[in-house]
Amino acid sequence: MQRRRFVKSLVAAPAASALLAQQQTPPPGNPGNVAPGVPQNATRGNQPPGSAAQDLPRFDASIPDVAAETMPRFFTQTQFEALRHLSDLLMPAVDGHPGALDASAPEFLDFLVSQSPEERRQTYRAGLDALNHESAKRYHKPFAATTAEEAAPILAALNQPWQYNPPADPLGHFLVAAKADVRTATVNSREYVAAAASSGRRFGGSGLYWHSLD
Amino acid sequence: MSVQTHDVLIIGSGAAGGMAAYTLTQKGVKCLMLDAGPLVDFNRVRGIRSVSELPYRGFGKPGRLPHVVQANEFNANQWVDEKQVPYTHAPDEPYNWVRVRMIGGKSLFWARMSFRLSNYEFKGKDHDGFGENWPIAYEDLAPYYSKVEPIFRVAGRKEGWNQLPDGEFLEDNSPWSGAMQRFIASAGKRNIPVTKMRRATGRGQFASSFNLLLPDAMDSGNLTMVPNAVVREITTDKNTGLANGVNFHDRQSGREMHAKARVVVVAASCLESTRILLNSKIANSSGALGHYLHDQFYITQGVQAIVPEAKDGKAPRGLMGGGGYSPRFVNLKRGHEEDFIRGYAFDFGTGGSPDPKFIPGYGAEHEKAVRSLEGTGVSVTIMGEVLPRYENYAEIDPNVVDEWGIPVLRFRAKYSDNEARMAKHAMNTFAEVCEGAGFEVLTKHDQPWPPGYSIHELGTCRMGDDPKKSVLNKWNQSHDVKNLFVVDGSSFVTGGYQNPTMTILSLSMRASDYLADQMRAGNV
Repeated sequence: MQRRRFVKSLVAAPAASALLAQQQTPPPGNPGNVAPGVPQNATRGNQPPGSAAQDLPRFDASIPDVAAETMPRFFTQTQFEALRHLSDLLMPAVDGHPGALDASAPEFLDFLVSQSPEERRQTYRAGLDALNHESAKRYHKPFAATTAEEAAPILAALNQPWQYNPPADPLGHFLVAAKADVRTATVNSREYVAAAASSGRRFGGSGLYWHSLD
Repeated sequence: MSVQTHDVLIIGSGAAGGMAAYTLTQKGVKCLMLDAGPLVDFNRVRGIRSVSELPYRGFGKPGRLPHVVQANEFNANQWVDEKQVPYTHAPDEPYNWVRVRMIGGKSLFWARMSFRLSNYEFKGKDHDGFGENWPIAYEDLAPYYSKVEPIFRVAGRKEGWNQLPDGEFLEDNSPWSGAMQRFIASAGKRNIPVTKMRRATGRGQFASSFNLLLPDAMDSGNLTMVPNAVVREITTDKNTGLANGVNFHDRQSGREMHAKARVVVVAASCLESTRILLNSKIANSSGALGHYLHDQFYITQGVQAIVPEAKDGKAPRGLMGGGGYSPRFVNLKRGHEEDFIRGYAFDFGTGGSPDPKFIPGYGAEHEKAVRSLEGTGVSVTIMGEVLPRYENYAEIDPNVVDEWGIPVLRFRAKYSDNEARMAKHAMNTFAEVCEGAGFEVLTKHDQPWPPGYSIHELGTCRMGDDPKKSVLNKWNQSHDVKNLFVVDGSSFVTGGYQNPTMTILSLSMRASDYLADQMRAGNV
């Protein structure tokens, strides 16, 4: 579902790039031929008088994920370790594309679920508890300690054909939701977007963003 | 301080209000247009961003727009805030009311599908006995469709079908892809017609009131446009009962104001128009106001199929791509051929990638399967006619108000067995056509989104010849208040399976022509 919505947003992009061209945004990054120590704006000499004062600098700023890690706050430690292991099993790194752990998808989902309506919070809490419960029953250890082979029967619901109504049991219900959410949290991450753009598979997941209206 | 009294006050600037302003101002009528939203500078409020830089990685802020399935984190700010302007419904009867408040309205964002209704809709009761006929026939509206289509530059292919009349099209002569040719051949064996999508190409970025109607209206010098005017109610003269203006709030400050006019044209969208009339306590001697709420039910990804020859990126050039539209093909002879009445349309495409959720499995194997099926998809949206029924309605909730203290709507609406049987028929039929074309059906389902999802809400101020059963006459004029017109989708008697925008535009143009004539003759 989320992915479908996202694809919709991409449809708006061609019109968007034309818009960007109209704005004549200077390319971000390091300008080529500026002598060290000379302020960049001082080198723009060919502009009509008065324009330099309005030509404010544009910075290529960073999102916090570049410099910091999300602090998981919502799940218990056992739940969170199960989520990390599940995320790795659902979306491992494939063909040079980052996996869920590379993309910090579990940390992001801890945040997202903590902000979500009670229904989603309950789905995740009950589902992660069910993962650990099943694992304890079968192997006498937490889900995070299972091998891929041991985890397979616990994740069997994911091999069933898609149904409009998700499974009624808490584990199956959760697994179907997590499969979609982990994927979205991964492919929309800064790490995945950069890898996909450099391999030419997608054009960086860009879209036309609406700022808030006054 | 002098305040001008306008000839006509138009509430709303979308397809219906824009067309009313366009038509009336060309005839020299002085109009005042109020819209609840801002006049947007699109270059300022929109910009390119990467999904990875958004605060919620494309998920959107949880719980912000629970009823707007169409919302994503890129476009969340373009929709009406559900906390600022709430509405209510029973927990087990959700209604998805999807709203836009800005100059241009929802015509800025529509999917541009552009169809004419036929006498299967205008005279539906004659065909199968259900509901009411419209007080007009296709022949009454056809000249207006013919004027609207060139303005919106509708592209399409002429087919000569009774159930989907041809229009004044930019001829679409594009070829069919190989997958589409196979689909058409399979559909033909079942007498299911397929044509190119009929679509408003507009100009530049939009096919909107904003760029196609309002510029001419403003250039005429006869239109005063006031954004950020949230209408509370229409006011009436105590002696005559006629409308004499509206009370509204400035959106940002809340300041309450009154604007005077000789005539009021309501074009605030189906349900906002209905809300304004209900809050004004006028135009409801019939008791029909708010009732007969209908739309089209939508089943997205009703069938997800793939073209096997296209797997693993091996599609030969020209196999995949493009889509088509199948208009109603059931119940055309006597009206009761199936175990349901009325009909549905298919809007489908080829060459997309199936949603990964449809592909069983997880991990590296799943990822491999997802990539193997990229570009192989055939997917359909089923768009079905919903019967207009008295039991489906919107009313004023006595306990809830919006940010400006204006009472909000409460919904009681759900689909009936007729829609459920139609949905099952549509799903199975599309899947069978796919299989007949050699496609592999991955998944299918017949579960519609909640009422409202299609953003085609209709019928709550319906027109009719009988003032006891309808709110408006055949000119979109209130039976009760002669200088009050409602020109949007709320005036529909029945909506068919077709997207309604061309019909809304045509009705608004027709009503506005009539209104200008009546004003000139001194009758209004």
